[in-house]
Amino acid sequence: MDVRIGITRSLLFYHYFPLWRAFFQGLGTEIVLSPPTNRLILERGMRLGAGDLCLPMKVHLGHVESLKGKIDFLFLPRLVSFSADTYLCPKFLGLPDFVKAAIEDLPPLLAPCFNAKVPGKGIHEGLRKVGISLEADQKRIGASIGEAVASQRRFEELLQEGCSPLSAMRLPDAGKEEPPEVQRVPRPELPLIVILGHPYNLYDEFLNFDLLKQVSGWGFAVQTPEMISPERAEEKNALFRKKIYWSLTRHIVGAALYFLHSRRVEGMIFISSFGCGPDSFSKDLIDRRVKAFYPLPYLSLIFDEHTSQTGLQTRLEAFLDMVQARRMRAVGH
Amino acid sequence: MAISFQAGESLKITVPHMGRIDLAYARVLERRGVTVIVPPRPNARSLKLGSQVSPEFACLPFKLNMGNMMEALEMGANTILTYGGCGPCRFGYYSCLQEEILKDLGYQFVMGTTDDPDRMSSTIATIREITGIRSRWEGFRVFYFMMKRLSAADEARKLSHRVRPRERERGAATEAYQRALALIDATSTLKELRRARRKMRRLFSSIPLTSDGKSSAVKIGIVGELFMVEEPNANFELERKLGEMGAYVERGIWLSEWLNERFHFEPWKSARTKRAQRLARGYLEHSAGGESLISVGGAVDFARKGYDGVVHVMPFTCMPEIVAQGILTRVSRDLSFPILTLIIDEHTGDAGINTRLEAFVDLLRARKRTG
Repeated sequence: MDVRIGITRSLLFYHYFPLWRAFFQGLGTEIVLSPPTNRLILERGMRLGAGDLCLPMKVHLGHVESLKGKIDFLFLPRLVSFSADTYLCPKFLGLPDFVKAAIEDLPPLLAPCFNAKVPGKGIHEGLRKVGISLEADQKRIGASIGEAVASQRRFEELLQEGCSPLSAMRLPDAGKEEPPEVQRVPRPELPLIVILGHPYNLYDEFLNFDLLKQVSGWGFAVQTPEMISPERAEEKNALFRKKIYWSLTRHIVGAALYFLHSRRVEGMIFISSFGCGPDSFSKDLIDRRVKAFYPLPYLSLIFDEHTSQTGLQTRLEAFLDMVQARRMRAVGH
Repeated sequence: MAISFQAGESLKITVPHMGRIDLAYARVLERRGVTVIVPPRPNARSLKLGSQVSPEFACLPFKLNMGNMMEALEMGANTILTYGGCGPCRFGYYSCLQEEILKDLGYQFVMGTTDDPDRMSSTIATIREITGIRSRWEGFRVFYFMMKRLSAADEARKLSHRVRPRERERGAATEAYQRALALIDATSTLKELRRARRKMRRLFSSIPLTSDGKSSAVKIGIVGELFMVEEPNANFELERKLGEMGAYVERGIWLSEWLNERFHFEPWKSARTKRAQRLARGYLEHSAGGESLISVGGAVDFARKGYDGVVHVMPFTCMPEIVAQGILTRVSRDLSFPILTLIIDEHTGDAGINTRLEAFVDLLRARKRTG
């Protein structure tokens, strides 16, 4: 099929790209991925996303803009809910409409609605509709969905084994045919720093100034919520009077508690975007629980388009120094 | 909902403010022998108390609720009743976080929430539980009376909107509105309430008006997040200010209608959400939670009905309304229809809001003159 499908390297790309990729490849379409976030994308996003949008959403608009003219269809699913008792953040619920309002001359959208609360709006049904609107044949659609789901499962397994999403996706480098080998991150002998946050804040290396690599460069093992299985995160959520109903946030908070209780953590970093709604609550919930593990070093970083690398560097170095000092004391130097 | 108490302690209930919902339940429950503690209306102190202990990026209604709860607990309340819900807006998780914050601060109380706010029956069950009313029918009658009181309060507000731009004496409509609320509050039966409603209509129609033609005044629609639209102390008395600048104000959302819709209380009455959904088509195809659809649909509605502009009011960091705000800029451009978004948090100042409202009304007047 000679169709180019545009997918943005933003928002839930870090969560669902393997699913989307396997599906569209199965249909025989070409996938055009927006480049990793860069200065131009950020600036375009800031211009398009006036108002009170959070940084990841603004950047998303920049990504969409960067795909214009290079694609036949833009894949922009409306992600409402992944399970019967969760939602995504309201901004995801209105995302296709929001993008349409913000950007002129959009390519035609493929915007299926995924809503696990409504029968007939699950992942399978949504993808089937996309396949039909691309005029693929039924058999091929079915096979692609099967392959997509399997590929997503493999991806999630890799994450739980400790791979970073970008490495587990095995995106081929520019000009190379063969995708790189998957790299596993955790090195049990190194002290563990846990970094919490939404995937689009954790893994966008441009926006967070490559925070994860910086921390591991200092000689720490870095773990993120994606490395915790949903079952374990879910178990910890039962500790709340009411389970958190934003799916990503629920997982982050559950994973945070799991990490805290496993007692191997030497420091914790929470990164969030300026004005993030779900994070405003989840951070408070986590803060209250971290206090019980006093004096565990805990750093909160809030990113927006004005965040500077130097400011971040200073805070990060001070934090990691503190973690090191505590370790030294603990071993009795 | 199960409310448990330490032995010997009697129930002292408080409900954080949401518009004039206190008018609906407070006296009614008191007459049934329940001790109700109504905190002061949201004010500078509640805001200060609330903002000090709330997460920085929590929305303003959360912070004001928080302050109200602290005030009510200081006044002796031992039970907080509030609605829950299950997203996607933060409102559904308010009570869980507020309970944690208050208990960490050392307050002792019981938090009673119903996580099934869309069912009339769960509210009636709560009413029966706290009043000790045995019969379901009697419970329903109490609930019915509360809903009617609330819609009477909304009617009083509508009447004040109609009169205020043309009142001869500044403040007459506001005073009549306060008197109307007192009339409603004094009623204890449906019959009395009907009488109070008639009296309140006479009250408003007896206000002396200026002779300016009705047609020259600008007409402004108000949409946005429900708490902010409802609470004059949170929206800097938006409606009164616009009215006193000579603008007719109509709202796209009312608490009584909103509750009516949630509860399917009188389903034959106009369903704003359905209507908004239809009007928002092409702009917002799926609710982004909260009042996002009603804000977008409402603005389109006001534009079609020939209003001169819309004021969209929302708390800082409100997720559903951020989506609506983005889409409203497109609505405004497409329909060439002025829309002013006011984003409010604890740092917003009166003078800033005044300036923006005056400029907006001036703009609408100028547009109206030039046609």
